[in-house]
Amino acid sequence: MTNARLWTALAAASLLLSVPAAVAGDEDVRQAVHDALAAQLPMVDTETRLPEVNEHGTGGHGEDKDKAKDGEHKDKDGEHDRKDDGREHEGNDHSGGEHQGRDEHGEAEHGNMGEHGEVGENGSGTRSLEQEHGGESGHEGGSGGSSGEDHEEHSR
Amino acid sequence: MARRLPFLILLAMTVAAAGGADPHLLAGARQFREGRFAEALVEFRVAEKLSAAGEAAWYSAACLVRLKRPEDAVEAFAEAELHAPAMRDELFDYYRAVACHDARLYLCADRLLAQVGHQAGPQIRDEAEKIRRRIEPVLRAEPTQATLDWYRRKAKESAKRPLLSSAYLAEASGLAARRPPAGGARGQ
Repeated sequence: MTNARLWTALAAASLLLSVPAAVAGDEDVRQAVHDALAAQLPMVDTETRLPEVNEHGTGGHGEDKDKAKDGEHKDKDGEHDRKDDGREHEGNDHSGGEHQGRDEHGEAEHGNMGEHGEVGENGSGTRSLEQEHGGESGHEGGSGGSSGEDHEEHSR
Repeated sequence: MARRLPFLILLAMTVAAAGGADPHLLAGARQFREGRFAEALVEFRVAEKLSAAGEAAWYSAACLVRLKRPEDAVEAFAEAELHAPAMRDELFDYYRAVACHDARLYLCADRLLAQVGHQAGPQIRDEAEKIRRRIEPVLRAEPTQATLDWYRRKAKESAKRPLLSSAYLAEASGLAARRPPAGGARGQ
């Protein structure tokens, strides 16, 4: 009886003592996490451009596979061919004319939209034809495609 | 046994107060600082389960930004704000703005960064200004119907994730408001 009361009193006392300590500790912990977050500030390294829906409605869940195939063809077709193809498409966005260009590269035989197929159903990695084939195209293919949403798809 | 019950309850509360989420928050902070964001996310998620304060949800959302999972991050930040709005600060606003940017929610990013600019320290403020300079010409241009359709489609696709879906819808509405009224004279 006496022992039980003694232990209860001890536990109550330690709880009372731990509350302010925990509050003070919370501040320290919060500061530690904030410091870590501030030390690892994220930078924007993806393209900044308004997306546009793919009016041809192609792409879809095979998006990544299509991209891989496109990559293979890029290597085969060579840089100059693609740039020429890009000029051909400028101003023809969504006009349907781009299919001819892709056919020249044989990309159509894979049943995808080539680079434009990256838009996919999810719309991630969307970019205009001009930009796709333009000055930044070499890098954008990676950055746009990996703008996070692809990672999301993989991570799910 | 009944006599010992109060003692046992108090003991359990003491142990909980002494341990709880803090060790996981500290471990998460350490992992995050070392660039191990996936490991940090695990620690923060555990802390979320152990603490009702809700602060760990903000940290988890920050991890998702560094893990390049912008849509998940946008959703997580929205959820964190719902449960622990008092925890929001300029650092989280910056992280959230990067998530919005990478999810192509440029209006959202710009709005957050505008707030960061007034409150944050020099490093965050500089980065925020850099991002705003990237976004500014994009938002100055008149959004096309295809752009609005993209956002609406994203909202539809993410219908099972209401917070994310509403973020895309809000972006579509905000951009639509920047378009001239139908039938009016279009610039250029």
